[in-house]
Amino acid sequence: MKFFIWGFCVLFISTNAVAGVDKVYYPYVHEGELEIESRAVHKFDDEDKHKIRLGVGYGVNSFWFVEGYVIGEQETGESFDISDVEIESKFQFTEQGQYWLDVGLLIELEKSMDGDVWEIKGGPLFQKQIKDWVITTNFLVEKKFGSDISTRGVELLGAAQLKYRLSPGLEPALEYYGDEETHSIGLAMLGKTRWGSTPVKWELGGYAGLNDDTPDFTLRWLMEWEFY
Amino acid sequence: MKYLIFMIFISFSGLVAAELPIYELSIKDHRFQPDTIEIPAGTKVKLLVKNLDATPEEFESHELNREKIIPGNSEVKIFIGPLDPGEYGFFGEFNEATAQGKIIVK
Repeated sequence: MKFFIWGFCVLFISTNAVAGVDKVYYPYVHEGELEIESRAVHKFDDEDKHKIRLGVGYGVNSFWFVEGYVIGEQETGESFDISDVEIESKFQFTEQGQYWLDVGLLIELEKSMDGDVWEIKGGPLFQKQIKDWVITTNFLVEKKFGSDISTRGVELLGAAQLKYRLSPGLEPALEYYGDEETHSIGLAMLGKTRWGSTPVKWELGGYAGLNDDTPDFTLRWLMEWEFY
Repeated sequence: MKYLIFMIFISFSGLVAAELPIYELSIKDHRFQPDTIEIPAGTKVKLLVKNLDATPEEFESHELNREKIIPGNSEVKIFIGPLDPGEYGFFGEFNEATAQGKIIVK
């Protein structure tokens, strides 16, 4: 338990804020897996904001998984628009349980549909299992570039998840997301089921904002269909 | 520098991992052979899983927290443990009706 508390404290200190609520990435890659993913984040505050992603990914080999996304957004009083496209690569450096810590790497490149705005994001993914508890952390660095960007510089992002392996169909988790301005913490339910013969992973979480810069409440959900 | 230190740590850890007890497991006709493996409690072990079928299989176990694709006619390493005494089931996700097995930890 000390390890979990330590992990969460390190994340809070090192990021000095939270990235927006999104998804906690695991440092594993499944060779030959074709994945169709749909996930969304709904932020509820004075003005609501909804962001949905549709992605298709493929496990090229046991080391590299690549996924492309189309991202759409809708804010209060505005119509739903396709806002960005993204390409993402995940690399698995260690076999699960091979060493004391499982390690991976995430790299994302995002292009706004509105002007010359690009964003590159990347960083290490860590996971550690202790009995029926699993802690996962994502430490990411984000940099925007292009002629139409409004802010320059590098931003630190982070996410952490403490999961209890209750059953294959239901695993409760405590999650934290942060960046240099926002912090959110909340509970998520994770599980795996079948849609016919197709394995489907699902996640559902609700998060409270920890400061004035963070939406009061954020809801996120995810569904992944896996094909081989 | 931190990255270098980390990679050195991983390299040394690899030497330790190379000395782990190894247990071999095959998949043939969508069944695990043997379907039961006995390993010592409190010890990390390496499973060498050979898929002798032409089609892929996924070694899956919630009890062991493992999910690993084994392409057809290929071999993968799966690290498990250290575990408490007991029985830990696993199955092949693509042929669950026949591909069933368990690890007995004593």
